[in-house]
Amino acid sequence: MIYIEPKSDSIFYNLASEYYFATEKQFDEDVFMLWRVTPTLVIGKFQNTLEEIDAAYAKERGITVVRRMSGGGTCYLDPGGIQFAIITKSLKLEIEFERFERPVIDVLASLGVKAEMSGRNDIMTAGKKISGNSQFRLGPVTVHHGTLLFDSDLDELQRATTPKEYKITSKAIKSVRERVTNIREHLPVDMTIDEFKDALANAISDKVYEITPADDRRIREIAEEKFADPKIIYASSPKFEIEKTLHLAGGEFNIGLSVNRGKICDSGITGDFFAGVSAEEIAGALIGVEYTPDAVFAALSEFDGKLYRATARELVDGIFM
Amino acid sequence: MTIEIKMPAFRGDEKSILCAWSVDEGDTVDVGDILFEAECDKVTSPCLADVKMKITSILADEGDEIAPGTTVALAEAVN
Repeated sequence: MIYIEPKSDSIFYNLASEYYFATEKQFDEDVFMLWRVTPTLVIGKFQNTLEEIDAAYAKERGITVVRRMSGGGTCYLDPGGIQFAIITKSLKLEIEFERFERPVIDVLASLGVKAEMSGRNDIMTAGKKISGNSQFRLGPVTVHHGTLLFDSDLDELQRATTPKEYKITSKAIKSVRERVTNIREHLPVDMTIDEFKDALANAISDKVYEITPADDRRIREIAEEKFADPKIIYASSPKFEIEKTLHLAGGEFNIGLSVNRGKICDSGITGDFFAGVSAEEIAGALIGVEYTPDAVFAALSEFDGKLYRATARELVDGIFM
Repeated sequence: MTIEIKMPAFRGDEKSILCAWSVDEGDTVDVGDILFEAECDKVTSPCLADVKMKITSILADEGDEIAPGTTVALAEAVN
């Protein structure tokens, strides 16, 4: 297997690297990747972002939010964890996980950590989860990726994956919370995260490919286009309805939005502090608008100064936080 | 000729979620175009058109859990 290490702590760059080596720069052999990131919440492809996270908490703590291309629920990553990916060509329709997880389980065993597959796609040790795994397919290519909790902040993991209570109606994929543990706690002989990473890379791969400046340029473009764009993070949630009551200085502002294919398709607003504009006018201005903070702000900013003790920025923060 | 577009079997008899339609009724698609995306067991898979066709009827909603082999849309072959 060919080993490729993106050597970036940006989630956008690292997910873009996986996509690039799955679609644009392909090898005959399987590719194995390892990477780490700054604190990040990673939403499953078909999840509703606001249903899964507390956006205000993430912003306050500087936690990046991103949507991955694979399925499943939301996970929290930090520099104490390592992510692995295996990119392979396969025309098989039948889902398989063991083929991708077995090499990692074998390395853990060689380090004295008894781990096993559980729940069909997790890796557990001592009855607790140390690795969540998911996949996406692009034509004949499958990308399998998994988390490895090595020395992560488990308190922050718990808090960051606790969503804020919103009244949202959707058929989006919901996350399942499970008990977790760090691999480091189970090592008979302590090692650093870099030593752990090297042990994985040396055992699973037998050659190395270094990312070239041309690869790097293209990966950065993909990172912007497919992962860092707020349209992908917020607006590509499956269709949903959200109701929120904003408690602002001027009074209560009740808003209900229906969002389909990333755009607001229905909107209802009630409240008691409309001065120079009606609730219907504001609601109407949101129809057809992309469901991202910037686009909603642009649509509402024309009403600044016409609302009693409320600004467009406060309304947008109230809707998205 | 009517074409029945079916949910594939990704893991035995296990149901998949039809997560997102990429086409609307009335659309004509080419071979290889994505018809819909499904998720089964944390694996996302695009389901592609294997012939050129015009979508005549969509029978399943986004978010529905669907057994393998179930018809999710009807189409007419296009020459």
